[in-house]
Amino acid sequence: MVPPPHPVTAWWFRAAVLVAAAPVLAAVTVTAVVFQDDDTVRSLNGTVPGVPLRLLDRWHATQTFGQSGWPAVLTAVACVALAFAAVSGRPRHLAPPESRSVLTVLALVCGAWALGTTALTAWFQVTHPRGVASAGYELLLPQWALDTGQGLFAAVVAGAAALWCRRSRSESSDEGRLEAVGEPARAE
Amino acid sequence: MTVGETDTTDETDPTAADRPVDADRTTGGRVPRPLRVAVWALAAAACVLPLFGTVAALHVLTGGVDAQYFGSYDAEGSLSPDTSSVTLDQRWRVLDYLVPPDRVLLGPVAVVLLLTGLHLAGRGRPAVPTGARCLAAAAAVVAVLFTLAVGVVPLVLRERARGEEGPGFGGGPEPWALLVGSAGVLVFLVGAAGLGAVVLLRPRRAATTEPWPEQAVASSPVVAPDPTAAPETTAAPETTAAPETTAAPEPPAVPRLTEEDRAWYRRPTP
Repeated sequence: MVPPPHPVTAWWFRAAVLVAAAPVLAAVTVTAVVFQDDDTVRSLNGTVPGVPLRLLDRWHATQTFGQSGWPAVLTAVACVALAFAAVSGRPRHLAPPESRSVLTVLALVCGAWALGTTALTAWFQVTHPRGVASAGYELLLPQWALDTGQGLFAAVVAGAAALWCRRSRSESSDEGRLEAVGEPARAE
Repeated sequence: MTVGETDTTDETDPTAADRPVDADRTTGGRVPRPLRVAVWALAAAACVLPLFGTVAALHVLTGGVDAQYFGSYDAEGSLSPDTSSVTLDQRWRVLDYLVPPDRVLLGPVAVVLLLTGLHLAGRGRPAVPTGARCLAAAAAVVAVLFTLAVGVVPLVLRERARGEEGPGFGGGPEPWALLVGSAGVLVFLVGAAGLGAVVLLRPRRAATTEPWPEQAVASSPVVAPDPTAAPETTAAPETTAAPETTAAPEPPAVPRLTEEDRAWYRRPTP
């Protein structure tokens, strides 16, 4: 049985979840702000005023803030590490009861963000002849490969974290706990 | 989660944390399917980025981006594809910029370390399937090779080019200065991935079929030690049960008990 959390140290876990969520939350916030701000998009892309903005213009403007894959990778790796701690109950007295639900939601959001950004970039690369370079933007094959690789990596890792948390929450027998994998089974 | 960490439930069995446990006696020899799927997914995810990074690196080294980085514009303003004079050293420098090792390998190395910890926490039980361990170890080996190729090989090529062209070639900083700048990331990637590969490929301790000494003791009726009865039990055992216990060979790794210790676990004679 996973030990109950300590009232003080449980806040360390909640703070760690916030830190883990910070990269994806920041990326989502920046993307949402830039997407609906026409002036920022035109200033970042150098688009001529008066020309209607396309979705590609808005997406490229968000990419000027940094590489798109990093936030999802960081959050996914932190998610799976925290899920391991929450499910196994080690360190003891750390994970509060709601940690699995919160981590499941965070992992699903991270996976959806990673898959969404990867699919959007791939759609632009495929639908524009000779890549997005013909649309005025340059995304070389190595850069696209790393964006896609980071997105797929983050999606799979976040999915594994969600699977761990969901499985352990719905399982009440001794067999399903992560403890039963890493630790000798004992009578409770 | 560390190796050798003891639980409060271990208080009745202090040797449980150190012994290999037969999987058939605990989980029926099989890890629950969702957990197995999650472990396989993590191992596969560790391979994704090294694979994509290798494809990107080969694309750069075979001249896939020469036109963008080394091409020149002709009179009409179009990019000239004539890049026959581009050297391998120049392509490798572009590779260091386009495919940085930390972006390709930090995430996979973190997952490899997580699987290594899970494998060590299994203590002889199949927490990580053998195929998943091999997959993660392969990703770690590719990570080590990729890091060395992208981080160290260009410095060697650059130094060779300096020797051929003279000290003024390139005009950049000294190679050792470039290596110092990225030494932290390179050492971490090589060290962590190499350590993970060695641990994951290490053969698991074979599960024994013989019962452990404490289980053999537990299978026979045990009388709790009574301090008041101690003088009686210590007086009798020398002549009754001592030949039986000394006849059975003990595993060499188990500490031997003295005759006085054995007397506490012996059935009292009427």
